[in-house]
Amino acid sequence: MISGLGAIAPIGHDAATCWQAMKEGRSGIGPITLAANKGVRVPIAGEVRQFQPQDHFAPKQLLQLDRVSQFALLAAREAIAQSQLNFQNPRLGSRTAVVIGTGAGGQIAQDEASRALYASGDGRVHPLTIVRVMANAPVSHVSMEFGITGPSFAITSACASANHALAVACQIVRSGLVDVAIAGAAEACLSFAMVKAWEALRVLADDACRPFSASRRGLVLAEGAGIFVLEAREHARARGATALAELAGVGMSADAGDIVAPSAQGAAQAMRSALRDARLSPQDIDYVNAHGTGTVANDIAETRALHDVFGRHAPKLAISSTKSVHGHALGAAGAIELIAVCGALRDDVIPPTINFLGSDPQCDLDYTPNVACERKVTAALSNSFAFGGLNAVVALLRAR
Amino acid sequence: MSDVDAAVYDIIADEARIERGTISRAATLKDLAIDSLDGLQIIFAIEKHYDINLPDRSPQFDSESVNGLIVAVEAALAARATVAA
Repeated sequence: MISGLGAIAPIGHDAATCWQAMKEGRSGIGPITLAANKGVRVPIAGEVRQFQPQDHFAPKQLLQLDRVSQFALLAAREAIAQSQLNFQNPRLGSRTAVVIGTGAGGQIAQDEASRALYASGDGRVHPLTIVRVMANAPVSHVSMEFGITGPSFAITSACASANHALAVACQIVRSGLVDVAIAGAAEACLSFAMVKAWEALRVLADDACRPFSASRRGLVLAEGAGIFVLEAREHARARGATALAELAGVGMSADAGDIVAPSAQGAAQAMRSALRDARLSPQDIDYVNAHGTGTVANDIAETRALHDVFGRHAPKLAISSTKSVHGHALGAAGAIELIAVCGALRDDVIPPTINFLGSDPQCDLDYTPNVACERKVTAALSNSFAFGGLNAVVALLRAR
Repeated sequence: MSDVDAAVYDIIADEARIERGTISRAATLKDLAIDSLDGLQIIFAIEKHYDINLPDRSPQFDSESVNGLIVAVEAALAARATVAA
């Protein structure tokens, strides 16, 4: 079960602020500023704004921390504080895992090093470049800050990294290898080079993120982190911990199809797998936080997959894509979106899919357009379907 | 055949690895069995060859047809000539 959560995203620097923005449909997508060079054509992104690293980290620590690690640490601090777990206890530390996903690792540091080497003619890169860039840096820093000494590693699968990290963490806890896992994901890859690379793929929207809507024009890049404290039920009960939600099941699959185009079958298989693992029937699900990137391809494939898995129950589902307010945080997407699911389970509110202009005949389900909806939420799914056909779905239950 | 037609045909043939003779101005990329990833490669190669930027999903830019690509190149070259003049 989940005994702590934390997040930082374009819509807020903590989980409560993020959830409030999701409920209100308040967008954090705005003019792109991070990729500072001229020649960036896409006008918008979901950037974490007004974030001052020096407010949160000592100067010496900052030397080691790429932006992605900064986000992971902030979210981890919030989640662990909420859980009230005390890692001063070394036995707890050794019985805790840290599993944090990322799609691109320390891209800002990578970009700075490349610029120094190729562009400035300096011929020198900062000596701490390796430890800033490495994809496991967020994991290592969380482990170091809290004294966590159990199994710890990074997970990567592009846009499914977060859900894969949660899935693996869930299974490590279930297996009895650890009692607790600090799990989630972080992403901060809005460097000039990465934005240009995304532009070249021609999937970025230039107006807004409009999942499932008519006239949708693609995805909007974003950054952020979400970290969760997953705890074995007995361990939580023994210390009287408050459960925020229950991570009831996970489902994973690969499309074995195209390197970019999604497959409805692969997505359906992952959703069915998650339901089976959680011992839920399709009709038990009240809310689906969709992958819903706002590309023509994903939203159609995902709709087909939802029909396939849920059948007659599909039209009764409340579905939404909170990417419409916070953008697509890539490796961190599923982690930020889990905040939405936990919020929905707690408050019985479905956060809206904003920027919805009208129906697309190929996307014919209820995506909670533009305005939040009150609805009893007992069970929910959160979908992530990544480039390269890698799918991971998590199933959550209201805390009992 | 104009220079632009010839160059665009050459690029399509190279990037999609198809017979140049099968390409006609009336054909869509789908007609030529060119998938969307190869379509992206073709646009990239055209942009590099002419040092131009083709628009991202503009209503005026039909990136899915041979004619659309040629028209877009001619428009970009004309715009540059106007600026230079």
